[in-house]
Amino acid sequence: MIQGIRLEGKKEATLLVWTLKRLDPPKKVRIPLRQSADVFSKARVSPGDKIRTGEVLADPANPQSVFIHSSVTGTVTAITLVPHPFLGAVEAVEIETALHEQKTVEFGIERKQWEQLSSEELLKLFQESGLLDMEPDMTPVHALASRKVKTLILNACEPEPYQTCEHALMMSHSPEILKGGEILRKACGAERLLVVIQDDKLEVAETIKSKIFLSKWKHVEIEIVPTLYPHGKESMIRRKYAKESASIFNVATAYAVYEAVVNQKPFIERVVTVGGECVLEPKNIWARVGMDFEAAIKSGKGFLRPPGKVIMGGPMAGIAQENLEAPVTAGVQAVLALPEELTRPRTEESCIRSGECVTVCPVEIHPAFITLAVEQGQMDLARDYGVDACIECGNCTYICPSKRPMADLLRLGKGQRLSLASKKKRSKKRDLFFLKEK
Amino acid sequence: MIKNFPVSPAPHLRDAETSSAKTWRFVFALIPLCIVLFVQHPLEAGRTFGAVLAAAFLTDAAFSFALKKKADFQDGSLVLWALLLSLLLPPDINLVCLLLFSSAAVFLGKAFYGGRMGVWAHPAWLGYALFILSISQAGKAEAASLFFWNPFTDLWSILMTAALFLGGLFLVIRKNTAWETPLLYLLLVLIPCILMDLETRFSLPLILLNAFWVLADSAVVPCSRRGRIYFSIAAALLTLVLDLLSAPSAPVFAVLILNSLTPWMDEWILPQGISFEAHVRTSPEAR
Repeated sequence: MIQGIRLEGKKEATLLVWTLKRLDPPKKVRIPLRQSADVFSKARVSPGDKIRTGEVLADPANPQSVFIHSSVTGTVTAITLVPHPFLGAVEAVEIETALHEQKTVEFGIERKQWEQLSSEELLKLFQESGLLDMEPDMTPVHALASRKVKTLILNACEPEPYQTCEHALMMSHSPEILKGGEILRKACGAERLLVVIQDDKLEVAETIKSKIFLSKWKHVEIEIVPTLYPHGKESMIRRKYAKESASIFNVATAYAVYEAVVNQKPFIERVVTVGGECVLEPKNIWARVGMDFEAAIKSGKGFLRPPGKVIMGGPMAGIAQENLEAPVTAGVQAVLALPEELTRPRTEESCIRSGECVTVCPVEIHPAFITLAVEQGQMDLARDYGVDACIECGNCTYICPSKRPMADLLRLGKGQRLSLASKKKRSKKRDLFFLKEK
Repeated sequence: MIKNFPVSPAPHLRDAETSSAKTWRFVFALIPLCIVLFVQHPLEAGRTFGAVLAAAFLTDAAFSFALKKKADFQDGSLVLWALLLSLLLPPDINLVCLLLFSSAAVFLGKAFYGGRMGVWAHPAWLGYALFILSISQAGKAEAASLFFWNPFTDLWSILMTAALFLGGLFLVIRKNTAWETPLLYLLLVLIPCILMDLETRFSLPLILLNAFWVLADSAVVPCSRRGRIYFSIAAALLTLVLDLLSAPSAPVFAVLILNSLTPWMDEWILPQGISFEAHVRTSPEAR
């Protein structure tokens, strides 16, 4: 039995108009040079440099990293620290936008004989184009695609409420996404391309099916999954296909791959949902990388009323933002402004053993027992109950009638387990060292 | 533009359902029965319920004060337990005894243990069991319970059963209890009784109370849905066995016996479907 929660979608507001509009370039962008703890780049430019849209700003610091490109035309004003949506303060290139946009020579021009590119050439191209998987963990595409697999999965699911950026992108650009998927399949050496779609996007599934039929692709399949949170999240799909050799990419990544390989457009923009009850005109926009959240919210005509919380990503797994200064990056799928009545903290009561958390847990662990064990500091017991298997989807916290901070306690349990494990590892290494000394 | 928004970890949305609302819904579902009883025996019903409720509140408040904890009367659990206990105790019982059994039930069932998940046995059923065990004429006491219940001999009895059934249906419809638990319990108890024409010592209202209120009380049954199904099957079978052995109030004792086994049942039916093995396969080290 599939366990999850059928959340209220609240997607209608942003899907009223699904044609995607490109905004005028923002007055200032701040493009982060770090994508994760290991993936970062070194600035090639310095303050005062004039740059064009699509020009390289930074070189990869290690083979796992990517080149970073300018999303606007203008002048570099500083290399400064900016608040990253989820990494804290990171180094970024600040560019003041010029009045007239100039692009690099090859930008937007179809690449000749792109179909003849080999797997190695494609991987190099992914790195040069600065392609990152458009999920919050922002793994570089060339690193993901370098793993040879049998199945390539395109994840078109958006299980979180409000988020419709991928839905809108698929409605507008499904042939490009499928071609991007094909390029990724070639790069990975996969035999099969599987598109996973939720059953609330059947019109998208039909559109894609018709494209597959017309293209006569027999190796492309579609799988419809129920619209249950967190089914459709990358972690859940990975678990489902754990037995198969498979790589998972977001559909927005496939579109960026198509643009990079076919149209020679490096990664400089992505579709972002600007939504929530507090935004005057919720919509999906093409947001340039480095554009701050304030500009994104202004594209939705600003706030209708003061929000209780501003969230990067969905309301179930997204990250609350202290202010609107953080820039748009590859991992920002949505900027949501939610009202106070939905997000206010609730009074915590003691556990009544309702068992609701057990019923909705997608990985079928026992959140109630684990959290009680963590509260009592019994980490071994928490491990026995399966704390390490938790995917931090937040279902238990959402459903708990006693309003206990289940997800926080599970994170704490996992964190303490990890720190204990690393301590044990360190002590083992130290023991070995002393043995050698002796 | 407004700056500095509140920050907290995900998830940022919460379901509207609360545990207090759930408990008060159990109390609300008993209102039809209470109306019937108050119309039939206004003085006895008022006296019994008032005394049990007062004793329960005082006991809980005293223990909360002694343990320097904040007494939470708002969650409705004390009202529910007091109501259930007052339905079972005979209305002609001595007032001192009434207060004593009610206090003992709350003391032993809730305040004294207060351990991992709050209670270890359903306090109302525990209070009734203490009453049955403490008097010599158990049979007489049982006949006196539920305000002189006589099986379908008069209109009041039929009204009482109908009121309980309506309350139970309300609980199932509002998803206070999963439908499988009461259905399995009722079928497994009633079908053998009807087919084999058994002469049981328990009454139909007691079975309905067990099915819809006690087996749905999450404090005393296993945590998982599977565990609750096993619990209701075991409770039904134990009820029949105890009744065949001529034990008084078999449904009450069946639940209490199984209550004591709940921690072991929880351990035994620990959910571990896709979790552990899949985690090993998908962990970064494995990849």
